[in-house]
Amino acid sequence: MALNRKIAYIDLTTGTVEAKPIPVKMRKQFLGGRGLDAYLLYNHIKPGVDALGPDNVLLVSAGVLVGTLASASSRTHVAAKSPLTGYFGSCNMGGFFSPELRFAGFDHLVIKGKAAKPVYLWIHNGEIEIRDASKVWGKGVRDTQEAIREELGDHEIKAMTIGIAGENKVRYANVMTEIKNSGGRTGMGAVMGSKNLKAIAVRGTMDIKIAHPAEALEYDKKVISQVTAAKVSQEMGKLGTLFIWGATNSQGLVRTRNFQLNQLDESDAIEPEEFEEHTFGMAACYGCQVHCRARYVIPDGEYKGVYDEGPEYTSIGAFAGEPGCRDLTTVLAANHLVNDYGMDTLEVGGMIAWAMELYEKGILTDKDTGGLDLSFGNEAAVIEMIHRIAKREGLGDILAEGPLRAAEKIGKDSIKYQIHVKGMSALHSDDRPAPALALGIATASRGADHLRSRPAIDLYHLPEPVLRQIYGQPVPYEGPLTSDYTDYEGKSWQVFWQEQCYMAVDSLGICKYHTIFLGPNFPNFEEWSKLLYYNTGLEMTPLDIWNVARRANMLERMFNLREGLTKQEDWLVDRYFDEPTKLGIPKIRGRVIDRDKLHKLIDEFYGFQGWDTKGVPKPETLKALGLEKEPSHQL
Amino acid sequence: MSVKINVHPALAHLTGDNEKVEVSGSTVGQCLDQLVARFPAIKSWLFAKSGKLNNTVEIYVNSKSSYPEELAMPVKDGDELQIVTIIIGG
Repeated sequence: MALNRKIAYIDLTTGTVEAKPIPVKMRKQFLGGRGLDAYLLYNHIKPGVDALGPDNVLLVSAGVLVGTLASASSRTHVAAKSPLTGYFGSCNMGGFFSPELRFAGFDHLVIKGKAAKPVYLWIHNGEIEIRDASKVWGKGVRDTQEAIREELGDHEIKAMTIGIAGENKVRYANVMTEIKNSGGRTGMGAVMGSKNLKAIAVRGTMDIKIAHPAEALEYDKKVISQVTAAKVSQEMGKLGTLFIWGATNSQGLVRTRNFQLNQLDESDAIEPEEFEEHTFGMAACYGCQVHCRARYVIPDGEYKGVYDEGPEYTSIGAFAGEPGCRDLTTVLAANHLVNDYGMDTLEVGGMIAWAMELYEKGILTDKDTGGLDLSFGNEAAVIEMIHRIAKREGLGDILAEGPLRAAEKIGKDSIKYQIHVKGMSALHSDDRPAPALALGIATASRGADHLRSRPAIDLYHLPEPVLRQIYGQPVPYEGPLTSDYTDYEGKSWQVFWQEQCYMAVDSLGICKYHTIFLGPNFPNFEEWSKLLYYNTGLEMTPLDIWNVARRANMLERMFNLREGLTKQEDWLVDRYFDEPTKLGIPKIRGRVIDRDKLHKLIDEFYGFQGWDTKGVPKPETLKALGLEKEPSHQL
Repeated sequence: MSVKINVHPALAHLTGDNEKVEVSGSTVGQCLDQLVARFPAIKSWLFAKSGKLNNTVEIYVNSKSSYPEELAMPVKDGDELQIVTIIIGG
């Protein structure tokens, strides 16, 4: 059965392992993946623990559809208290790790304590061993995986690992699988490093029995057609997400020179067609037909000939737009380095661009940088700072602490130039012309986050009937909706709806690129209900799945509130309000976010959530979702 | 035959600030050709050098995507076209 995978409790301090079944009742409440992780984190972490101490708990999980016949059911979720923000830490990645985890018999790992020396977990067909990792400690991401496969004598092993950055507890270190599948944002790699846990290796041959195989197969064919028939999927299959860079930059919707400008001029050298010359085919995650991962070899420079995958649109922004660079080799090399060090692309790019603006303004000097010229556009400095951050050398040691701690250490008004929410750097997109996007990053549970509630399709200018069809189910909505992304009307509902959409797929284990994130006609609650039934036998209506998402999002909010979050942190930094966009097309130029209108959107958003005016869930909301007795310690 | 084109607001500066333009034609391509004839500046936003639609542009006909037919898709009197840009924002 697809539902008979277990939850394992692993105590690295004592070396004990205990496995238990996951009751169907809990599945119906939280499904799996990020949804059940929200429950587990709220129940297993005591308030106020040190995120880099042994009392933090690291959760690793598969969505409930992972490894089944459902298309793009590849996603791994990792959660802990974040060492970056102090709030809900969470990352989600594709690849092949969590399907293998399920084939090995497990859905959820609850990892507690701290090992006395570096270790890795070896999970295979129902067994979990804690093994010595001293031979791989100090290695990069890809060497670690290869060494573990060699040691265990099985090249089919999938390993989730940290790189040097995780070992050094860079507060935005990633967990990684294969070459580039990145569990980024909120520093889950640093939590692994703090536990002396270098890697989790999995291999399984335990079949997942599909509940209704013929129907599951037939229905998935329909879903695959739904996704692959769309133009956006076909384009994603040629170069991945970076195909949108040129058009987005042309409009003026990207942050450049930290947050001083909103367009990168003279950027022909980093246009997608230039990159195309260095790619040779696309790769895909488990069970996906879109193939959005470009494969490339670095064409010249210090890393000439090195193979890697990506870069995503985010890496172009991080290593070209934000630091004001225009060199393709730099983007490719930087992408390779953050992959192998195991660091968050967005955070690294954001921190370096911030440091460059501080250098420009004289807040940082040559003395602070160790003589490194941190001027905007200095490609060599970008590469050098990546090394220094990962190794925590000089200024890199300060930047490795993340936005708030670094600003505190540097002082001198440096915080004014940080582009963050809740202590996490924002994506390079310039959201001043797009209130829906701004609301999303202001209120997302893990900080300035474009993957928690962003109505990405708001920029498309879709016909209103299309919007009505999307946003009117499974819960009826008859309020305002507008195709104009500069408008404020109806955006609070769109953000609220997308938040449930993304939580649903993060709990099912399906990639967001197979959802409304990318295409207006992509699978939705209705399809997920059927996929769930055919593959697992679990009978849940679209509304039931919506309520799972509501429940899990509510617990993430409750976790954050318990850690001290206040309404004031559901907000943007002043530059969004006070500094108008200077470049781009006429529609974009001169835009700021209106404070009063954003307040109104937030009030509406709180209302949809069932929160009071301070952003705290009302008792009746918790009761309606069955959360009034949390933490209930049922699992 | 009269067909209405709803121009993406971000591109309206290229169509004399008109977000709605009336054209005539029996395919999407003919309608867009008329639009370009009246407002040449919009051409490079809509079309690649190959003459195909840009990879970040999609045309909806009566709230349904014209992809994969795109320029060849037939339209009739009273149809409504919408210019959509595939800019995901992250």
